[in-house]
Amino acid sequence: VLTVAVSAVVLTAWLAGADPRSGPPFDPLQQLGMFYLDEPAPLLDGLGHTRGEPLLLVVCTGCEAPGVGGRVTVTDDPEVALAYGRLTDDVRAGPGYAVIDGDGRVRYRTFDPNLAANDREMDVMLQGAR
Amino acid sequence: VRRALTVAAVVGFESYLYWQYAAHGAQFHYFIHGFTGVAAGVAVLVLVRGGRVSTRGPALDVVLAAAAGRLLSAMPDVLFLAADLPHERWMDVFVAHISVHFVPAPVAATFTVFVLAVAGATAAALGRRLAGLVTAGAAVVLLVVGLAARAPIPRTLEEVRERPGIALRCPLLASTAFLQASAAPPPTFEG
Repeated sequence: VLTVAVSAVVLTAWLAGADPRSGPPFDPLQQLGMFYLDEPAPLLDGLGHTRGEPLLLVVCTGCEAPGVGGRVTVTDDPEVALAYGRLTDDVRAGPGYAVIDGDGRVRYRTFDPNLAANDREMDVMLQGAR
Repeated sequence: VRRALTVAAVVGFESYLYWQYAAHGAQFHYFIHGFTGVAAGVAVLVLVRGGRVSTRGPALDVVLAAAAGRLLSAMPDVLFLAADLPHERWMDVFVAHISVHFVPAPVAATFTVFVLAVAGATAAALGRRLAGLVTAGAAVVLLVVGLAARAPIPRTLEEVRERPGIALRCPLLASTAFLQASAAPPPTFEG
C-alpha cells in the first residue's frame, strides 16, 4: 500500500508540474533513443550535410550548438521544423533534434524540452549513426 | 530493523533512478519502465510460486523479485548511458522495453498493471493465495493486452506527422505557430 501510495504521489506531482509548452509529457516518440526512422532526409541540401558524415540537426530558438563530437546544424526555420515533425498543432515548435546518417537518411527525430542538459544523449545518437 | 533497512534501500535505489531519469528530462520513461518492471517481477513470483510468498518480515522474496524486474526493465537505459548503445527493437526482451512505450495510455496502463501486481503480492503475503493469483494474473493479462494493442512504430516522417498532435501540414499555419512558439522563453545552453 505504501509503495502504491508513494508512486501515485510522485506520478501526480510530475504530471501536475509538467511544462504545458512541452506538450503532453507522455509522447512515446520523445527521447525514445532508437533509430526508428529510415528514409531520405528532407531539405538536406540546405542543412550543411556532408556525405559520409552524420549530422545532428537541432531545431530551437535562440540556443547554441550542443557540445557533441560531430557535425551540428542549429536552425529555427519553421519549414525545417515542419519537415522533421517537430511542429505540433498545439503551437509546440521544438525544441528537438534529428539525426541524419552519412548516407543522407533521417534515422531519428525527437522533441526534447530539456535540450540544454542532454548533450550526451544527443552525442550517443549521433555517434550511433556512424 | 530489517524492515526499516529494506524500506531505506528501496527508497534510496528508486530515488537514485528517478534523479538519473529526471536529469535527462525523461521521467516518462522512468515511470513506464519502473511500473512495468516491478509488476513483472512481482507477478511472476506470485504466479510461479502458486500464490505462496513470504508472509513474515519485510517479504524479501517479493522485494528481490521487484528489484530484479526493475533492473531488467531499465537495462536498455543503463546500456544507453554506460555503453553509448542506442535502443534497438530486440531490447523488447527486457520486459517489453521498446513496445511498452506504445501501449494505449502508457502511463495509466502501466500504473494499473503495477497496482494490480502489488495488490496480488499483498494478498499472497496475507495468505490469500487465490486472490493473489487472480490479481497478479490480471496484471499480466492487462499488460499482454496492452502490448497487443500497441500503436505501430512509425518508419517515416510522414507517419510521425500523422500521429495526433504532431505537426501541422499547412506551411502558412506552421510558420504562424512557430513564430508564436518562438515568443516563449528559449532553452539555454550552458558550458
